[in-house]
Order: sequence, then structure tokens, then C-alpha cells
Amino acid sequence: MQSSIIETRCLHFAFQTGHKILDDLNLQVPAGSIYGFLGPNGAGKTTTLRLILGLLKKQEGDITVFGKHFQADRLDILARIGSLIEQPSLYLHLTGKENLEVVRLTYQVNKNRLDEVLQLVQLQHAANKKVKSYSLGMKQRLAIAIALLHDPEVLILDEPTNGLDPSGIIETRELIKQLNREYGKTILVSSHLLAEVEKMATHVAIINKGKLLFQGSLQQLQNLKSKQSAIEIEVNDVEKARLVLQEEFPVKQVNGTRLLLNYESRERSAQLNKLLVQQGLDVYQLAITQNDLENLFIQITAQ
Amino acid sequence: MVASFILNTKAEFLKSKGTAAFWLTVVGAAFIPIVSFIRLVARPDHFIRALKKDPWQMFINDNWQAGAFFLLPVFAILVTSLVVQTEYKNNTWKQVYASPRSILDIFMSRFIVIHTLILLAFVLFNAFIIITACAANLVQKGYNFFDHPVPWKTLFALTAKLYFSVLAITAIQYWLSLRFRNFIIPLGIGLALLVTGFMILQWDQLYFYPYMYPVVFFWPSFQKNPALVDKAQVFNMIWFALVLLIALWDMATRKEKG
Repeated sequence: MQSSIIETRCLHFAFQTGHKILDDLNLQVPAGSIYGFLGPNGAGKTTTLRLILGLLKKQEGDITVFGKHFQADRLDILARIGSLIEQPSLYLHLTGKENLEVVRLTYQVNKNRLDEVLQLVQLQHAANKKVKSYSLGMKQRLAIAIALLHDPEVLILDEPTNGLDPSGIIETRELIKQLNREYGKTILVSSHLLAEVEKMATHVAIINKGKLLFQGSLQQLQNLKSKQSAIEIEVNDVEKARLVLQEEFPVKQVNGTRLLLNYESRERSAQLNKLLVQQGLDVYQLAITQNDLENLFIQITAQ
Repeated sequence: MVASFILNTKAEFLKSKGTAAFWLTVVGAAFIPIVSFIRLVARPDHFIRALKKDPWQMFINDNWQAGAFFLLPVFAILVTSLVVQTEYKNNTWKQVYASPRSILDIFMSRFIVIHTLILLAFVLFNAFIIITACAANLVQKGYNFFDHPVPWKTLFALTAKLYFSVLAITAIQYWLSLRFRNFIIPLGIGLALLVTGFMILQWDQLYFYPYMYPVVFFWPSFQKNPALVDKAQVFNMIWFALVLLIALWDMATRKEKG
């Protein structure tokens, strides 16, 4: 069993109006993991991360980071964490390098480190340009460089790919994986995109309306997903297809020219296709339905 | 602890580089001396006679009188709001609070930057007074600034007195600027309190009113009432210390930071 670097126990949070944001949240972020913290917008992800960083005052429950309580060891804990919460926190009137210098003074890091992190996020060429002229992707990368400057053990990144174009998303994802793989950083990264988290996380937590729906390794999530996956077929004659399949492959749902069946395995999918073709049906499309976050929620809550 | 505070204060200075607060300090300090220079050059017939006896003293008083009552408090209100606004505008408070800095460090380092900018404005203002007087003398030979030494002691004493007079205002404005994300609110409250001050100038307990301390300390008619000036000095320090402590407590206990 890996030890947890960040742990929340029975975490509750509500606004003054009484509106509940977090409801009995128990997270365990294992050391050395990329912990994907997944949930739709407004699920309570940012609130959780802000509570962990002490940006919000804790109301109920317990938070430990490196096994320490935040109130007692605030400075020590923060010295070992790098963070990026919501949009990048950058001084737009300063250059990229000056932004790093502001942070460098606080962490008392060697000056050589500025070039190292700039290189890591591939911003050397723009180091002396004012940040207001940066694209969103560059700002995001600079914010990650700032989070990395003091070589923290843990990185907390709140939706780091938000607003980025596809190449920016890929670059950021690769950087996160590289930081975990090559530098051994534990990374807690939030996202509202299941596919995004699946591509980089080793562990996943799913939160909705402040409640934890799932927590486990990526493998456990994949298992859960495949159990519930469906196969969608588009044919020229839906009624005939239904009759052909009914004995061996029970149809769950008919949707226009499409049929929905339980996914069993790759081999069974091939058999299914063969059966339809042999019976003279035209198969236009055969696909495993994308298990998006919404479907996954329905499945998990239905369990 | 002290070393990290010094480094964090240095970082705060770096943040103010090229900001509106910095340029306001430089341009604001030059404004009155430049207007005074134009007056000297445009109306030598009047001013050569007027400044004949003690040119430096009169020119310095002339400049400071124009600035002390209204522009100095306005500058203090503006610069305080602008320095704090740097964090709000860039959405950087969360990064500041998520860095390993004590609340006292975060609170004081920024306040030191504000006071350094105010002191810089004083130094520049005095320097511009001397430069513009010399420049006017070069343009209009009739002036006799070069025949008299610059009264450094008077200048220093005057500057110290005026700096002291805005301490309470800066503490109040600092608290307001930290409290409100919207820059207009502390600015509006500060200006409203300042204007109100001018409307209650006759109040016999004006020593309670921080926004009028520059007037109380500098306006000649108040010098005839030393008891009121003394009380104002005491209340200036009380306001300064009390509001700073409240502002620090407010920052430390805020439920949502950044």
C-alpha cells in the first residue's frame, strides 16, 4: 500500500447561504501518483484544492499534507507544494523571467533554476517578453514553470489544460507525465474531461455535487467502465437486425437506425458483425459507445 | 525569517516596476514644480519682485502649499490602491497566499512598498522644486536663486512633517484596498472622506479626522492653535497603529484568501 501524500477526511464545506459544496469528501493521493481529480464544472474540485492550499478556511473535516496538519505547519507544507489554481497567476506587466524572479526571491532558489524551468516548459525564447503578449498556452506553461521553480515534491494543478488548443493540451499532458516519470513528482490534477484524465492519470477520483463517487487506480476505473460499455450498430433495416440478433445478442435499445447492445468482448463484436452481414444486412457503423463523464456518473450512481 | 522578509519585500518592489503606481509617483511629483516653473517663466515681472527677499523659502512654500492639502492625500490614496490592485488585477493573490510566506510578511512587505513610493515622491518633488527653480533662473536672469543657498534643513523638516501627516491615511486606505477587489471602492471612499474633511474644516475637534492631518499640520491658520495640532499628531499615530492592526487581523482571519 502506497502512503498518501495528501489526505482529506470527512471534508465538508458550505457557503454562508447553506449551499453545500463538499459533502464528506475522503481523498487519498498516493505518493508518486498522477491523481486525476475528475468532475463536472461546479462539482467542488477547485474548492477542494483551495482548501488543501489553505486559500479557503476549513469548516469541517480534516486535511493532512505530508502527514501534517495545515494550520500547524502551513509554511513547511507550502514550501513543498507547487500550485496552479484556476487561471494562471501572472504579473502581466512583467516579463516571463521577471515573474519567475518574483517567485524565486520568495523560495530563495538558485538563479540557474530560472533557465532550467524555462527550458522545461520550452519558454526560453519568450523569457524576456512581457507576459501580456503571451498566448494562453504560454501563460499556462509559465504558470507551471513557477509552480516547479522550487522543485516541489507535490504539484497541485487545477484544470491546467483549460482553454488550451489541442497542441497545448498535448504539450501540457506530456509535461505532466514527464514530471511524474522523470522527476518523481506527485501530481494532483483536476479536470472535467474523462478522456483527458485517462490519458495521464495513474489514479482517479470522481466527484459530483461535492460527493466522491469513485476513487481508485486507473485500472479499476477501466474495469468499471468496460463492465458498463455498450456497442452501437447502424444498419439499413433495424427491425430485421433486431430479429436476427435477438437470440444470441439481446438488444438494449433501438434508436432510429441504430441498435444499442451490451459490449462483451472484441471477438463477440466480430461475431455480431458477421451474423448481420451473413443475414444480408448492411452495417454502416459498429462502435463502442464513448463512455463520457455523464454516462459514467449514471453507471456509478446506479451501482 | 528577517532575510526572507527582505527578499519578499524585494520581490514586491519588482512587482511595482513599470506599474501605474510607479509612474504616478514620478509624474505626480513633477506636476506642481513644472506648473510653478511655467508661472515663473511666464510672469517674471510679478515673481522676480515677489521672490526677491527669500526666494527658496517662498518658492518651496508656494509649491508645497499647492500640493500638501489636496494633491498629497489624493496621491497617498491613489498609490495605496494601485499597489494593492496589482495583485487583484493579475489575479495573483492566490499565488501569494499559496507561497510559504507568513501573513505578517505578506501584509508588511506591500505596505513598505507603498511607503517607499510615497517617500520617493517626496524626494522627487523636492528635487523637481530645486531643478525647476534653477531652470527658471537660467531662463530669466532676474531671479536670484543662485545667490542664496538651498535651505536643506527646512526642506527636510517640512518633508518629514508632511510624510508624518499621511501615515493614518495610508493605513486606512491600505485596509480598504485589501478589503475590496474593486479599485473604485477604496478610491471613492478615500476621496469622499477627503472632500468631507474640507467641508468640516471649522470643526473644533478636527484632530479626530485623519484625512485633514496634512491641512492641520501645514495650513498656517492651524499653527495658531498648537493644542489642536498636538492632539492631531497623537491621533495620527493612534489611527495608524490601530487601523494597521485591524487590517492585519482582517487579513489573517479572512475565510477566503486569494
